[in-house]
Amino acid sequence: MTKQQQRKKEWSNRGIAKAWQYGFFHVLIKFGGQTVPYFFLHFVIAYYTLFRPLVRRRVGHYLNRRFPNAGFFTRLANIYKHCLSFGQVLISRSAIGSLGREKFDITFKNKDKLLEVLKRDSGLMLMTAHVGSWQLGLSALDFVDKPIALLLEQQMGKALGHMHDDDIDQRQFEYIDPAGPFGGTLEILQRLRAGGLVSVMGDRVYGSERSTVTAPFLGAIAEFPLSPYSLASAGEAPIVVLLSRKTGMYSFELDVVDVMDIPPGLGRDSAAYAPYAQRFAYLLEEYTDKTPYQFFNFHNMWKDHA
Amino acid sequence: MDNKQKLKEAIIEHLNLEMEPTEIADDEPLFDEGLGLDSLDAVELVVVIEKHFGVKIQNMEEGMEAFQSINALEAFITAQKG
Repeated sequence: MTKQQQRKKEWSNRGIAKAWQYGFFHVLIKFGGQTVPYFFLHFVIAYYTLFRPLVRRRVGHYLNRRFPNAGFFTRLANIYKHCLSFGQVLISRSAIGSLGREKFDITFKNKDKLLEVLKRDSGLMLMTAHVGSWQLGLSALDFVDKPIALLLEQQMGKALGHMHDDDIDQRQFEYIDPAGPFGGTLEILQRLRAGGLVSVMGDRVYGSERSTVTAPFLGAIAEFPLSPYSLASAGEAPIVVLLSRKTGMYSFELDVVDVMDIPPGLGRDSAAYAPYAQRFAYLLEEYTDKTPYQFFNFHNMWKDHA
Repeated sequence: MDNKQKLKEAIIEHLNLEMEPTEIADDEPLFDEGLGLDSLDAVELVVVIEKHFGVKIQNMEEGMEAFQSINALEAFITAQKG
């Protein structure tokens, strides 16, 4: 299996629970809000922490970097806290659809930065990451009067987010299939040049090694995708970095943490984009300092450079 | 210099390929099992063609057609300019 095929396999086998288990929680949320599902979640997470080595391994890629000196029991406690936090995000994501967004308090930090960029006569690359709840972060952009194109298979998008049809307003989104011609890159370029909004994950590596850029992250060199920066350069579009975090049972925070203006014509050399990837990695690291249990990228970003 | 030679040189330069223009056959597929270009190279090809030949690829369908090989690219550029 080539490195590229291995990457694709790792990203495609992400679900850890069965559909009926998500359905069970969805019903509980619909009729009882979040308190009861939160209670049940502790038992489910205890089971996964103790009896599912695959879960421990996946979460461990990040936790071992974030807490390198943790002993056996602390590590187990960290896995429990991290999985619990992930479960709570999934419950809230579903609860927003079932109970309505008005039940939640969503704070938007630095929204003015995004509004400023939206005034420009250009496309816009909205770069987020597997932190907090990126789906909810995007759904809170309903004040933007253009559709947002997600680099994601539509069905896969719902499946990965474990979302039901009413979880987010699907009318706001269009989908660009990463398995389509040229991995969707020409479609992204076309949309950016036409003044459209495209959202990509800044911590999700696609394609071959040539499509990656490396940066120090949590004490070692990690791989990041080159495509957001290279497409922003070719499409002459700024990158707005948007991260989200869950701040309470019924509250979320979105934050525009950076706006990157990538010069046009930087070409194909990944070294030209390294400063931008480093900026993003630094922001992610800052995020994990403040919110250590809401980094939900379960891919080993470091393995090729450890 | 003919368009095919110019195309090969521009591709090698802009895509950071370590090879000579003579190593690229005119009918060789540019992507996958051929020259092995990837999806980000496709983006750069769009830029290269605009910069060196003044031709814009407006949509994906045009790109898919034109990016088959050097022959296809040259034919596309000639048609657009003609």
